[in-house]
Amino acid sequence: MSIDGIVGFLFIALSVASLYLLVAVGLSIVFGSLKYVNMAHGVLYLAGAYIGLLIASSNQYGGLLGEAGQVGLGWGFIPALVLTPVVIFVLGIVMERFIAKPFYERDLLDQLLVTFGILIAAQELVAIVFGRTGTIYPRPEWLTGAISLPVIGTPPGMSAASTIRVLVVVLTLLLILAIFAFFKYSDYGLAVRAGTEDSEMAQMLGIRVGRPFLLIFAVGAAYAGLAGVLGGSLFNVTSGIGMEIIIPSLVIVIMGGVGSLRGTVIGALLAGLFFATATELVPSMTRASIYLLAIVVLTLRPNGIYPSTEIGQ
Amino acid sequence: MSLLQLDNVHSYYGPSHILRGISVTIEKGEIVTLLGRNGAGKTTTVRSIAGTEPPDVRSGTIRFDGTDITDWPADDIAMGGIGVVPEGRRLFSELTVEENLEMSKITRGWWNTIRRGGLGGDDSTMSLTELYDLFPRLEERREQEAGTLSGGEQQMLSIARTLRLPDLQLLLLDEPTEGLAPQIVETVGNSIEEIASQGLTVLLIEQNVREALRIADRGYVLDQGDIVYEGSVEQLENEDLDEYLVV
Repeated sequence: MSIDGIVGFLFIALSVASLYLLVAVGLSIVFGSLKYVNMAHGVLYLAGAYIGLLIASSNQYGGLLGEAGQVGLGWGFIPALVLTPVVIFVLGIVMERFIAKPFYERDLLDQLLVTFGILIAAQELVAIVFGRTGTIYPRPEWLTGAISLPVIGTPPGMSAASTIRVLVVVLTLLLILAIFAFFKYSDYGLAVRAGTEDSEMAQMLGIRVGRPFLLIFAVGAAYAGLAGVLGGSLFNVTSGIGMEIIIPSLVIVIMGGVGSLRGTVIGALLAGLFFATATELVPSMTRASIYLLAIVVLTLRPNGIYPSTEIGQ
Repeated sequence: MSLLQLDNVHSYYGPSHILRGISVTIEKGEIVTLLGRNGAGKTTTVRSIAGTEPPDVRSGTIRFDGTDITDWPADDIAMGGIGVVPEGRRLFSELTVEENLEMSKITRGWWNTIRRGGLGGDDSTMSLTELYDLFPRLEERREQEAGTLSGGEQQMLSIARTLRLPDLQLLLLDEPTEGLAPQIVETVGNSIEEIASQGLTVLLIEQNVREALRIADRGYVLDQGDIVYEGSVEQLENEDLDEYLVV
């Protein structure tokens, strides 16, 4: 492979890793701190992709909207990128209060069945309303084509990567740093870490743990919603994308060590690399690559890469 | 008016009737000890006052400074002036010493933030500086994870953490000397006396009768969910209470 080829390959790997990571982060925190497996987290990605689409462009859909002609605000990509996470943040609050909270004390299996059912129902609802054919995000001029990156040693000193992929990677990096900082430096982050270890003790110190947990749930939701917009612009948007993203994300969370942010980051990077390698070498194995990876990782480290007990690390 | 008044309190763990109508009164500024062997209901008493569930307080009233707090949630009781140093210390073991100490002065909502003088304001009963004066060892170990401290240091941190609550008036200490070496027991006991001398009222739950009687002004003896004896330290020392106190 040429330098260009390698850089291009790395950005495919990193951008796929970024999408997984943005979804997996919320899943991991909620799983780690509240012991809640939220397959309905995929609904947030799905909703993010469609809400972003409605904000960004005006499209002819199938399904119930088939008769309605062009539907959507058509404000462009950036408004979609900014507004969608806000909408999904609010959706996350609603989800926590009405779906998640009543199930915090229940069995893992109950949680799994209920949230999985919600995901399937949501996907069907989307299929009924928007139809089953895929829709493509509009890409503004500046997001198409390649961006030049300085690479040491190449004669012109430059190499190219697709602009949208660079945007995805940079944005994800910033957001992940933000969540680490949240846990390390903010009062709410401290309350979540303490509440994860002993929520009754936190209460005896005057802290209403419900609120920090609600906040972190909604932040995780907003990340998944943003991932929906970004993923939608890298791939196709269909009613089935919730499931397509949530299963690998759950595998990444488990592979990384439940509740460990570092583990989730490493897990997502590995999954992205495997995904890109499989795409390059054995395209038919692309989807299966992450499960092969998980089998290897969990055989070597049954409790995940970082079997951490503390949240926010 | 008494600072704390338990009146005929009955508490249950599910179907088990643990506290069978106990009445306890604590005046402002006192150090009162509650003695009794394992399973007598000491910790249940603490949890009933603190508002943690279980147990379920099914009848009787708990008044604090005249206000009925029987049905208050634990966080409101903590903010209202009752601090609990629980059995087993229950530190946040993976947080640093200083993070443990920051815990109880955070996240009280925007109203409390304004009331305590804006972001960065401090309304805690004792400031970090005062606490480090009281427990110099904690200052030395401020960046260390709480789980790596020795037993005595952990107990000091557990007490210090509670003193960060605002408007603290009553401190409930549940077996603070449990599992500590004899000379450490005395250090912890002295710290408790010093805290009390600054105007805090203390309810000291103990199995270590000797240490409890050394510090306390007055005491109750609990057995099988009933108060079986109450009196001054002198009376308790002269009474033959082995029947209730031998572990």
